[in-house]
Amino acid sequence: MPSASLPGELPSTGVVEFDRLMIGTEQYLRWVEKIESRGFLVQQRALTRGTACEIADRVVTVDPERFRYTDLLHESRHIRQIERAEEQGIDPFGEGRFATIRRAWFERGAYEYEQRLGRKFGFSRDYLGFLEERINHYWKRSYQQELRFSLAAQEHFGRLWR
Amino acid sequence: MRFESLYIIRPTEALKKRLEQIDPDVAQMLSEPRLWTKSEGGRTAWTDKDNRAQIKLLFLLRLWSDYVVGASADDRLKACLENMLGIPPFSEDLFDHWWEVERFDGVDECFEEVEHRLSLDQPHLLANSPLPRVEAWLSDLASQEAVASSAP
Repeated sequence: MPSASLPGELPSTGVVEFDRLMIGTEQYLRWVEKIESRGFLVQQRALTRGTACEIADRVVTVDPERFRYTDLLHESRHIRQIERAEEQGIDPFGEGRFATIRRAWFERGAYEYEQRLGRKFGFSRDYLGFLEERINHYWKRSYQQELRFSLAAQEHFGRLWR
Repeated sequence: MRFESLYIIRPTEALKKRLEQIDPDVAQMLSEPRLWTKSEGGRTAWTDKDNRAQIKLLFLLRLWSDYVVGASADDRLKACLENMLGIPPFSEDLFDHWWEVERFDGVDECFEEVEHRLSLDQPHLLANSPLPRVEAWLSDLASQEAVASSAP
């Protein structure tokens, strides 16, 4: 079990397979090879407590002591979101209109994906609560209202897979 | 995914009241709002409360470091801050007594981007301005609209 049970760390899913640390496994090496072949760069370094991974531009930074299988799946979702946005002619890292909401949209999508995994594979109630909290953390009420009242926002996010 | 968050730091009523009694230059330094950007996000357990606490603590350290330890020859601000901050360690409670911090959770817009997006078909909806520079800007937008509408 990684440091997930320590105060301030990402919580455990309650399912050993998903809490497994990835660094040094065949699965991780294949994952790195696969996403680097698609134009991403993966680097490893210690991140702040409670953070397992970050994506900025096309650089994926992984904390070797924290990065678990469930984190890998979460980041894989982001990789696919980024690629599909680019296929739509949208720069996922660009600034300008909807940039902030777009990042929140991607986080919402990745955490909803984990919720589906959680229901399927029996993640703990605590972890499912954490996922719900994360969605509320990122998906602000002001973003929901923009999407509700603006046709342009509906059109933009209608094209954007999450 | 990483993103930039915006925080605005403002004086509390307690600080405003305190500033009424002190040197106006120092009062201005301490009463003006401060805007901080902070890189956040990623696959993380960090909450709004955690991020806000970081801002508060670092803000206090920044005041201490720049204006107390690193005070210039004009040490009026240093004297005021030493009195307000007291002796380290500094806590969130201390920050909350003198300042408040708000995270911007609204929808942000860039003027130039909005102007670019809307100018070609919308300026006729805006009233003339008594300000000559703004009026010239409106005229420029209207002429762009005319060129665009006459294009084949």
